[in-house]
Amino acid sequence: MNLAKWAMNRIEKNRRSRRGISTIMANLTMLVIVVALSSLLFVWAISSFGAYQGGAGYWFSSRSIANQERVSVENVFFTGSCGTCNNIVKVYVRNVGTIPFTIASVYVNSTLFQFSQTVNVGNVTTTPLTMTLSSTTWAHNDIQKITVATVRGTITTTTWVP
Amino acid sequence: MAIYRRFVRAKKGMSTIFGGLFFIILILMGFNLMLWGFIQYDNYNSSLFKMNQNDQLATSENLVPASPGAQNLTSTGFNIPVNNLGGTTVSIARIYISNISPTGGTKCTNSDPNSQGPCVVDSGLGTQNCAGNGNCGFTNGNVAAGVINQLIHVTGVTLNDGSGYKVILSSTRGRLFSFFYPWPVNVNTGNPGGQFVTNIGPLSIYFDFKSFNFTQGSQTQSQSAFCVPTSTTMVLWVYVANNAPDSGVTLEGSTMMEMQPYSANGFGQFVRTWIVSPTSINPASITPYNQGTNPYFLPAAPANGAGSKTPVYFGGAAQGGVGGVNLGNTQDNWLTFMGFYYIYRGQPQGETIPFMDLKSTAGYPGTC
Repeated sequence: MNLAKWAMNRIEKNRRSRRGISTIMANLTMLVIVVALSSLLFVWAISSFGAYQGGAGYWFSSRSIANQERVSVENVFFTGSCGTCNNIVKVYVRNVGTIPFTIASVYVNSTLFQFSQTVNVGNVTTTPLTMTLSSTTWAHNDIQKITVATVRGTITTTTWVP
Repeated sequence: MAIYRRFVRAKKGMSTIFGGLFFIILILMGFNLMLWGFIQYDNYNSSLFKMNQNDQLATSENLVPASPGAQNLTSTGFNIPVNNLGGTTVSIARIYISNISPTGGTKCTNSDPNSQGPCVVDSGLGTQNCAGNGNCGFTNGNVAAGVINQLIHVTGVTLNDGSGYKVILSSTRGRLFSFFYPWPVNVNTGNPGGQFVTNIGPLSIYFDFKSFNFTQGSQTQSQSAFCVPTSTTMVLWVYVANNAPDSGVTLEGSTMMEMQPYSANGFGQFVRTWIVSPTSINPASITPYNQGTNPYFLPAAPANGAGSKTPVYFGGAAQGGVGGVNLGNTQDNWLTFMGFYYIYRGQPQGETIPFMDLKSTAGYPGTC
């Protein structure tokens, strides 16, 4: 009897209550929005920080390593395959840096010659980098620009006069 | 107890705590990222700093080869005198010797089967038999700061065969220090000390040890001509300056030089040569003298003394000719005269210079 009375009272109170379903829905909606935005913020932060660390880390490490390369063009010897052909250039390159490097290309003025020769610290190219010019030959007393580039992007430019 | 009661009655729930933790995690992640960035940047900067120090040491190297470039020449080696005027010790890693005027042979050229290019001289016992005399090496290549006249001893190759050589000293830090051998004549127009000058008319003729020179083959650096090789075609250099402030001087093509050997016992045994063009610095580049198109013109002297010295090249077999000067195979002393003909203030004039003695020898330069 008492239980039935209590239940009737409760129903009556709820019927007269001003709190509606809208309040619950609003709270739920706000909860969902906050959770969703927080998740988005978290995911964005994780991915952004990761991307930054990846890019910056690669840049720092690669630049830091490349900065330790020092290329010294010790000597450039101008000669020819015949008495009057001024068409051969021999380049001697020394590694005066603190890490080994690999020579990727040599430019004689603006003509590209590709190589793949690794030079250890303190050493010189085991054989001179020999280039045979085909179209434009070198000339006595003309300035010849020799550029040596490594695979890490270090570039050294020197000028020589045959 | 009060804190516990406040906590129990607190209206902030778990969501607040979780929210706070979430926020703190985000902040810590940001700090962690910043810290990581600082560490990376610090590593990068330390690498830069270390390499900058190396670069500064390299730029503070200042090794100066001293005259005559190569001395104590023997059949197996020579010494290179050097002065270290820089602020740090210089260690020579390698020496390159290139024959730039192969009139004495093919040594240190591409045609040389030993070197097949420049002669490469490495430290110690060397690594390359660059001249056919055993490995080419050098010792005494560490030069302390401030040292004067240290001798770097090179073995396995010599330079006294009459060719012209370019010598490059390469340091372990990548710096290059070079010189030419024979040592180029030092022409100092501002200081006549040590120069013997004859002034006749408007002309000053310099024929001291530094100013009377010759070249052979395709040499571009001249050497003293008081001793010359026999059986060698040469171009003789004489330095001339104009002393007259009122007019320039143009040399005429009849300007010539005559050399008579001491052993001659009659007239006619002379060697004569005429001036050639101002671009004829060696026998390989001789062109005839053309007074009209490319003359030797000595501009009027400034008010404070003689004008700058101009080299005049003798190598014509006749007036307006070419061919060079060749004293034949006679080893002798040669009494030498010069006749200068020129146009001064529009008037042709001439003068004969009493000259001196020069020597020709087959074993040049060893038997000079």
